[in-house]
Amino acid sequence: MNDRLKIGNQELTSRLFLGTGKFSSNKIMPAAIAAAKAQVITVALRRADQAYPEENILNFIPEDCILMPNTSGARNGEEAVRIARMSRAMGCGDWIKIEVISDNRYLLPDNQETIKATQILAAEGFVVLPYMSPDLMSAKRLVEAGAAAVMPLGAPIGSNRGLQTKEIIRILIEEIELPIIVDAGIGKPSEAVEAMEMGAAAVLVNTAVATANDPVAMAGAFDLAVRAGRQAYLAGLGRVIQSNASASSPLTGFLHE
Amino acid sequence: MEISVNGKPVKIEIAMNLAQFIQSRGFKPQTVVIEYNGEIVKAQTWEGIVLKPHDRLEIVTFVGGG
Amino acid sequence: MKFIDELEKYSELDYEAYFRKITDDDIINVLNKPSINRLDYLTLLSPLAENHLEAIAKRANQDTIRNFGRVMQLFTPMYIANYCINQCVYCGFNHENKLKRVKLSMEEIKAEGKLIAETGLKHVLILTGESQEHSSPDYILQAVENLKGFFTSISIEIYSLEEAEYKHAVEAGVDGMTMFQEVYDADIYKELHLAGPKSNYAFRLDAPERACRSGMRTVNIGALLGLNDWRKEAFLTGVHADYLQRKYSDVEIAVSTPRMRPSVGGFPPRVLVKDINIVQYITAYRIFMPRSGITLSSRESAKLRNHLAHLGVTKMSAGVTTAVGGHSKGEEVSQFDISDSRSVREMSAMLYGEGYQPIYKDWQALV
Repeated sequence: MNDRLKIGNQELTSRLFLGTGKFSSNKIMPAAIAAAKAQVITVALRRADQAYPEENILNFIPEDCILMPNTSGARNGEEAVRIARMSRAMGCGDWIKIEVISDNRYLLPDNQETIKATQILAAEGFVVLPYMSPDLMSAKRLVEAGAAAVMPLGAPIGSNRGLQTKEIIRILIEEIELPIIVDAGIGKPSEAVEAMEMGAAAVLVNTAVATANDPVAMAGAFDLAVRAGRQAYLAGLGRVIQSNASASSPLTGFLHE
Repeated sequence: MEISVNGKPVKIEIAMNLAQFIQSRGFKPQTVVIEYNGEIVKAQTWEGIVLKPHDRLEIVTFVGGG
Repeated sequence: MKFIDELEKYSELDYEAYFRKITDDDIINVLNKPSINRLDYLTLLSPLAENHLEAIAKRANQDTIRNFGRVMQLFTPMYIANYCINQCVYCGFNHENKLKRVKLSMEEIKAEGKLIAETGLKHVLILTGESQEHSSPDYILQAVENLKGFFTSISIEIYSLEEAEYKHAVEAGVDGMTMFQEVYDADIYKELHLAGPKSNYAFRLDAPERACRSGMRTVNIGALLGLNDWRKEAFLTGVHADYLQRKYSDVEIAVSTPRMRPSVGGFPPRVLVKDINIVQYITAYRIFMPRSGITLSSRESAKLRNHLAHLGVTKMSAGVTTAVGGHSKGEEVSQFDISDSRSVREMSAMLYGEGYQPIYKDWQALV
């Protein structure tokens, strides 16, 4: 089946994006990425530790993966732009996940600042995937600002509460022509299936895999879930309405009188 | 002289350029990006940058994140 | 980007080939989707879908009630001038037609407005032919000024204006604009619009978009059915509405489904559009655009209008005359013959009987 997800200039066969935070050890990551069959991997940018230079996380990510640094830590659009530029200077491509959070209680993203950063970075040639609170008007502005995809949250980061924002995400899928990628909140493979059945283009999962008892097995479970959901979406869900041309026709019978 | 590295004061005893400083601190040059006084500076230019008092360095690297 | 560029995308579409490939299953599948796309809409417009009309009607009926409730907006058209420099071969006001040309004075417009207002209607649609000499934008806006006291909503169905002129109209108190492209097929358009400013296809096609940008609250588009294959015209009308609604999400985009009626010029319809076709068009469009208004004129018979009240229509004319000053001076020469001449009171009674509440006033500007 030739079902590809096109983002920027890339055509992806995998619709499961994997985050690299919260793993108990970097060493487990290559096996988890392989089991997830993920092609897009998120990382974050941090100050390098002077005393103990970190082991290089890039050594644990296969080279043919697309690296998508996030701008976590940014509290406004300006900081996100700065982090994005530094990330690109690492020489690992143009993809950037914009994440602007000024709310430390629920970790909900700031859509307005996200739109600003998207506009600036898209103009600089970044492939911009903004993480957002699901909202139709904000999503439209992200499209205008030059986003390559829109990533609404299913539930607050790390909450593992599933698709709490389902109805709005459904509207975004209908109304926004860019790929809609559900980011944050997906805690179980069944929730990934649900998002994909609705027509989400992809899901981004991190906590649910990284904190499972067996992250590699869970990565494999998410791969199956995402593919099952996608296939169900393409197959078209079951019918409720049946044609009843032969039965009595209360609404259109007059045409044959 | 004293410079600021990732927001913390650092004392330097002898004059050195940025490339030498990175090496002396044990960073792997290919894994970090440096902002020198607010400007991103490419690795090829590090040798030409001689550190002065009150310089501000941000040295960042990729870590796990979602 | 303008709509003409969007339309270009469909210039190569082979409708017959698309229709040939459609199966019964395809139609049922479309009916089971929570929301449908443009090609799904075309599937519902296919000849084969006629066999599933009751199922389509059922869905359209449910979608309409869910989105609009059991209500019907009533309005009436008010013709204030019939001078026209255009030569649209199918229109009674065609420049070449010998008929008594008249325009109402401001006093007459007020008298006409007063009579309409006495029937209870609060929404009025002002119509003129195209004549800078006899019905200039200034004349029309002066009429609006004189009608404001009687109505809470005033729409215009006149020749296409520049964006700045639409802005003036909005400032003067106009909140709705109706503009029929008549026929989306550019070649047929050229054959039927022989002379006058209206022969400019592209300028007319862009007019609804100019109105959207000017701050108009409602923009109502449509194709005159009977000039071309109705399935193609219905499809492109839907594409036009979808394009406008996505681009101007703060404007209410509505469509009309006018079917050609006999008029003075005696131009017969090129294509026969049957009642069943109108039903298929309206119900398919309702499913495609569940929040969009559908306006039905008195060109249709009382019987058909009674049934269509259940199938997606949200706005109907009542107490209609298509003659200039027809409300106060009686019928003289009309733009086209109407087929449902029921008064506002009669229409209201019919609607209550069908289980719908007639609405005279949908909203009112607070400024």
